[in-house]
Amino acid sequence: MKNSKHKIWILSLLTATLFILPGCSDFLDNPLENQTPSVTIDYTDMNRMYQPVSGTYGSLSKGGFASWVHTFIKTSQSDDIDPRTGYSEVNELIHTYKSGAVIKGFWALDDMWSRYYGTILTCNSALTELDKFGANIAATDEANKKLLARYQAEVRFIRALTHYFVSRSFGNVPILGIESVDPAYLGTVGKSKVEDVRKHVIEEMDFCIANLEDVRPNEAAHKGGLTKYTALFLKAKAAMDLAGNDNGSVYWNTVLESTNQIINSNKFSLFPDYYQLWKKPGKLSDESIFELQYTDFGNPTGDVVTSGGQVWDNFHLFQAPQNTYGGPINGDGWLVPSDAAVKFLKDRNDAVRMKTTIQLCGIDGRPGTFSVTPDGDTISGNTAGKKYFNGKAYLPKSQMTPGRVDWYGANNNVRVFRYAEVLLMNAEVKIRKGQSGDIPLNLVRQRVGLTPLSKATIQQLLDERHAEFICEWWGERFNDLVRTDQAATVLQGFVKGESEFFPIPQAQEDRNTNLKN
Amino acid sequence: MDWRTPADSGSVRESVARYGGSGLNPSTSTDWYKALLRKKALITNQGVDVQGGSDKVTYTAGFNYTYQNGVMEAKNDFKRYNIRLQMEAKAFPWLKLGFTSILNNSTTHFPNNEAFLTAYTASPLIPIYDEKNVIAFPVKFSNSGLIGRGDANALGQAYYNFNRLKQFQLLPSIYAEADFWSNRLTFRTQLSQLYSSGLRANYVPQRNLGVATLVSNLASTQERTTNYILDNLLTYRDGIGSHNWTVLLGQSSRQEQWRMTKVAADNVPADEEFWYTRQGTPNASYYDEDGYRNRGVSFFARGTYDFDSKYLLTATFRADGSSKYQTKWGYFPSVGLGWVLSKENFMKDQNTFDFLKLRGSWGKLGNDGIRPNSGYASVTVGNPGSSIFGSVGNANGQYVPGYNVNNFFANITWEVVTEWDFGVDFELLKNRLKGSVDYYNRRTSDVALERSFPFGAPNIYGNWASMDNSGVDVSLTWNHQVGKLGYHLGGNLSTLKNKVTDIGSLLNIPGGYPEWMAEFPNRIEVGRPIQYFYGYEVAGIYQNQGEIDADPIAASANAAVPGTVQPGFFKYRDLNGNGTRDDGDRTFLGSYLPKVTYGFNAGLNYGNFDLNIVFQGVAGNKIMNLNRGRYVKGQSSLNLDAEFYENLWTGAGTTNEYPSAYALSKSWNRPQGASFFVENGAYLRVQNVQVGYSFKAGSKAPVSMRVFATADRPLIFTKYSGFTPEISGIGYDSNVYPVSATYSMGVRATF
Repeated sequence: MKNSKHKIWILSLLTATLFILPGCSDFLDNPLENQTPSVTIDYTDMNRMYQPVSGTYGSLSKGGFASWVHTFIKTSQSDDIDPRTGYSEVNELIHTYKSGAVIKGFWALDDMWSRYYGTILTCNSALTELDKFGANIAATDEANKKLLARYQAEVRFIRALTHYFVSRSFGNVPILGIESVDPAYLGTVGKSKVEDVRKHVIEEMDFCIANLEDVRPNEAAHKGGLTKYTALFLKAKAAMDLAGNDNGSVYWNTVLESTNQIINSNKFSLFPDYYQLWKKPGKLSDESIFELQYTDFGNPTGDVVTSGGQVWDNFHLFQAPQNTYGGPINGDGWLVPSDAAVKFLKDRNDAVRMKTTIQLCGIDGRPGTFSVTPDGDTISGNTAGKKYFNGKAYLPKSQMTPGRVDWYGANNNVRVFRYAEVLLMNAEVKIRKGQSGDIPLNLVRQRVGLTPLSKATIQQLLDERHAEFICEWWGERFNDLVRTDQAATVLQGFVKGESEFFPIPQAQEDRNTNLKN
Repeated sequence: MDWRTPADSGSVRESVARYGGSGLNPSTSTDWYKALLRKKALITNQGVDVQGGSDKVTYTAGFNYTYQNGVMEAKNDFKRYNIRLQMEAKAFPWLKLGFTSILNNSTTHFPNNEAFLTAYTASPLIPIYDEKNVIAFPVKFSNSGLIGRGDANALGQAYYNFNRLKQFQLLPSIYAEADFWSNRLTFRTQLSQLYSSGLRANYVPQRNLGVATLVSNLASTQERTTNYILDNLLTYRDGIGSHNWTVLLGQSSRQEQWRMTKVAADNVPADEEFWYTRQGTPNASYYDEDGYRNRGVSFFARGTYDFDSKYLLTATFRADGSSKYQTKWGYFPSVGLGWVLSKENFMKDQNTFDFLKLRGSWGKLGNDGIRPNSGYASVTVGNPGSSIFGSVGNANGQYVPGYNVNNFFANITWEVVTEWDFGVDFELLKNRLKGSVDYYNRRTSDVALERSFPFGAPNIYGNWASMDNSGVDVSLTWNHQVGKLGYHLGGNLSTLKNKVTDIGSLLNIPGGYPEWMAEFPNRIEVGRPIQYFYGYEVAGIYQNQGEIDADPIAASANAAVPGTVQPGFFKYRDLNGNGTRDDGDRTFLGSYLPKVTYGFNAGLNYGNFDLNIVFQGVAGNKIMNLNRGRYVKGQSSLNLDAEFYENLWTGAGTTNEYPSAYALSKSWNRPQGASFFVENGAYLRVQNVQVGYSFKAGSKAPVSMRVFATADRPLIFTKYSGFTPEISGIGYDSNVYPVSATYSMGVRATF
C-alpha cells in the first residue's frame, strides 16, 4: 500500500519534470556565438563614428586594389612590362590585348571584378552605418554634422574611385549605390555607360571636395587619409578620360580648374629624390595625393599589414627578382620591365628614372651571374633569363625593419596618385588649349635632372607621362594610349573598338543575366 | 636537344651544375612521396573486459589501449587508452538505477599534411639534402631557390613540425528506470554528458632552409567541449486478446558547447619545458578565441497497434526545436502500415514463403545537421576591420579602429524531408533466403546551402532549393548449413535518382569548390541533379593542322589570335553551333551522386575455421579531379599523375584523350570547367577480409579462444586516376594524401 502511494507520487513528479523542465521559453533563443550583431553598436557614441570609415580604407588597401591579381592584370596591358606570370591568359592574351570569349572565363578577371565591387559594397554598408550615427546627432551639433559629412565624403570617394577603375577595365558597368545592400538587387541591376560612370564620379567628387579636409593627405586628421585635393585629383582624371583626344571638349575646363586648385593651394611639392620616392623616406611625402598605407609596426616578427593576405602575394614580393642570394629580396619576378621600356628611357637619357625603375638581375639575367643595386643588395641571374626587375617595387634590405627576414617590402606604402601627375595634367590641358604647359611640365623634368623644354608639344608631354609613370601599376600608360587614340599603332595586337575593355567575367554574367546586355 | 621552354632547360642545367649529371641529363630524380612515407606503420590494440554482478548489482568494466604509427616519416603517431565502467543496481524491484562512464585519454602527433601537397607538386630535380647549402641548419635540407626554383622541400616541411594534441574525454551517463502498473508503464530518464578537453602544442624550431634564419614559433591551443543530452521517456504497453498497443511519450533536450583559445609567440626556446608564449615575443594579433553553443529540444509521441501481429500500425509525431535556425520549431508527423500476409489463412497452404510482409509509410523529418546561422547583420571589428594610418616617412603606421558590417544574411528554417516508402519483406526456402525490396521517394524542401552572388558579395547561407530523391533498395541474404560447412551470402543495392525541383525565381545557382569556383564550377538547376559539374565538353584532341582548320571554333580562334589552337590541344564541342567557343557551349558534365550504391558479403565456416569477406561499391557518379586541374591554376611547379604523363599527346595518332605537355601552358586548354577533368567515380572495394579460428583451451575451466587475421581495405577496383575515388562532399577531389590498407592479427580470450 505504502509502496504504491510512493510510486504514484514519484510518477506524477517525473511526468511533471518531463514537461516543465524544458519549459523555459528562452532555451533556444541564444544568438550565434562569437558573431556580434550590428545592432550592438552604440550609434550615440560619436567617438566611434570614424570606425566604419576606417573599415572601408581597410577594404581598399587589403581587399584587392593593390593585390597581385589587379596589379598583374593592369600592368600587363602596356608595353612597359613583359608579363612573366604563371598564367598564359596574362602573358598571351591580356598582353596582346585580346578580349572577348577567349578571356571571359579567366578567374583573375572575376577576382578583380569581385574585389572591386566588394569594396563598393563595403562602402555602401559603411554609408548606412554613418546614417545611423547621423540620426543621433542633435540638430544643433554643427561640429558632428560637419564630421559626418566629411566621413561620408571619405567613403563616397573610395566608392567613386573603385567605380572609376572598374569601369576603366570593363567599360559599361553598373553603378552600385546604397540600395545594393539588398542581395536581390545585385542579381538584376543593369549596366551604365562608361561616360555615365565617369560623370557620376565627377558629381561624387563635387560632394567630396565640399566636405573633405582642406589639407595635404599627410596633414589629415587621420594621417594619410583622403582630403579635398585627392577628390580634385580624381575629378580631373575622370574629366580627362571624358575629354579624350578632343581638344575642344568642355571637360578640359574641369581638368584645368581642378589641377589649378591643387597647384594654387601651394601645399604640394615634388619629392626631390625620385629614387627614394619609392622607398621608405618617400612614404606619404608632400608629393603624395593618395597612398595605400601598410606597416610592420617596426617589429621584426608579429603582425604585418600588407596588400596581400599571404607572404607570396604581397605587392613587393611577387614583383621581386628570383634571387639565389636569398631573402628577403627573393620573389616570383612576375612583372619584368620590358626591353622597350629600357630602350625608351635610354634613348631619352633619362638616367634618374632608369636608375630608379630598371634594376638588373645579374648580367642579362644569366644564371650564375650577379649584379648589385644602388643600395648594395646583390641580385643573381635566373633560369628564366629575366634581365630586370621593377625598381619602383624594390625596397633595399637596409630599409627593412631590422631582424625582419620575411614579408619583403613590409612597412612600405603603395603609391597611387602623385602631385607629379597633377602638374602633367595641368600642362596637358594648357597645351591642348594652345597655351604653354612648360612651367608645370619642367618642374617634373627638373626633379629627375632633365633639361627644361620650351613650347612643349602634346607628344612631348605624353612622352613625359610615359617616362614619369613607367612601370607603375594603375594602367596609366594603356589609358593614355587609348584616350589619345594611339593604342592601335603603339600596342602590338590592339584592335580599336575591341581591345579597350575586358569582357564582363563569365561567372558574373551567370549570376546576373542583365550584365550581358 | 632542348626542353620546350628555356626556363625548363635552365632548371635542368642548374640541377646538373649543382647536384650532378651531365648536359641535360640530371643525376637527381627525387621521389618525394617515397621519401616522405613510412613503408609500414604499426598499429596495436589491446583490450580487457570484465563482467560480473549479483542479483541486485551488475557491472562490466573494460580497458583498451591503441597505438598507431602515422604514415609520414616524421613525428606522427596516435596513442590512446580508454576505460569503460558500467553499473546497474536494482534499488527496488520496480526501480533500476544505472551509471556508465567512459574515459578516453589520447596523444596525437599530427604530421604536416602540407608536405604531401608539396611532394605532389615539387620538381624531382632537387635532392632532399644538400651539404653545400652551408647556411641551412640544423639539417642541411636542399633549397630549390639555389637553382632558381620555388619548390618547398617536403621533407623539411615534415621535419620542422611538431604538432601534438593531448586530449581527454569523459563520458558519464546516469539513468533511472521505473516500472508501474505491473510493468505496463515504464518511465526512463537519462542524462548523458561529454566533457572533453584538449591542449595542442604546435612548435616550429628556429631553422634555416638556405634563405634566411626563421625564428621559432609556438602556437598553443586549448579546447573544451561540454555536451549534454537529457532524455525522458514514458512508455505504456498493453493489450486485450489479439489487440496490442503501445504509447510512448518523450522529451529530449540537448546542448553542444565548444570553446577554443589560441595564443602564439615567436622566439620560444626549443625545450618543451619553456613552451609558454610568455617565454617568447607574443603579439596581440596572435590571439584568437572561438566557440559555439547549440541547443535543441524535442517532444515526441509514438503509438503502435497490431492485431495478432498481422496488421500493424505505427504513428509518430515530433516537434523539434533548434537554436541554430531562425524558425526554431519544426513539426514532423509520420504513419506506417504493415500487413503480414504469411499469417493469413489463404497463405496457409503454400510453402514458398515462410514469411511475407507488405509495408507502406509516409512521414516528414527535419534535418538537424545543417549549419548554425546568425540571421542578423554581423560586425567585423578589431584588426581585420581596421586600417593603417600614419605610415609616413620613417614612421610606422598604426591601426585606427574600424569595423565592417556584413548586411548579407538570410533567415534559416528547417530543411524537411517528406518520404513515401513501399516495401515487401520476405523469407523463402526454409528461411534460407531472406530479403526486402523497397521503393522510396524523398522530397527535400528548403535545402540549406551557400549561394553565391555577383559583385563579390559574400555568399548567403539560406534555404534556397528543393529536390527529389527516389529509388529502389534491395537486400538479400542466403544462409545454409551442410554438415560441418556453413556459408552465407548477402547483398544490398540502392539506386538514387536526384532531381532539383525548385530554386525560386532563379535560372540557376552557380557554385563550386572553395578557391576553385571560377575554374571548375558547378550548378544547381531545376530538372538536374543538385550541384552538377558544369563546363565545356572535350570531344578529343586535334591531331593535325588539317583538323584544326576544318573545325570552325578552332579556325575562328586562330583567326582572332594566331596560334591559339595547335595540334595536341583540346577539341571542344560547339554545342550552340555558332562557330566560336563561348558560354553557350557549356553543359551538364555529370553529377557527384552515385546512381547505384551496393555491397555484398560472403562467409563460410567449417568446424572451427571461418572466413568472411565484405565488398562495397558505387557506380554512376563523377569526380572532378582537381589534382589534374592544378595546371589550370598556373603554378610554377607541377607534376602529372603517371597515367596522364605517360599518355600525353606527342604527335598525330598518339592519343585522342590527353593533350600535349605544351598544351597545358596555353590558355585554350585552360577552360572554365571541362569534361576532361570529370572522371568516372565508380569503384568496387574489398572492404574487409577476415580469417579466424576458434577453439577452447584447457579442460577444467575451458577458455574460449579466437585467433584471427584481418585485412581492411586491401583492394580497390576503379578507373579513377586519383589516389582514391572515395571523396567526401560534392565530388571535388584535391586529396594528395596517400591511401593505406590495414593488415591485422588478433587473439581474443574469454574466461
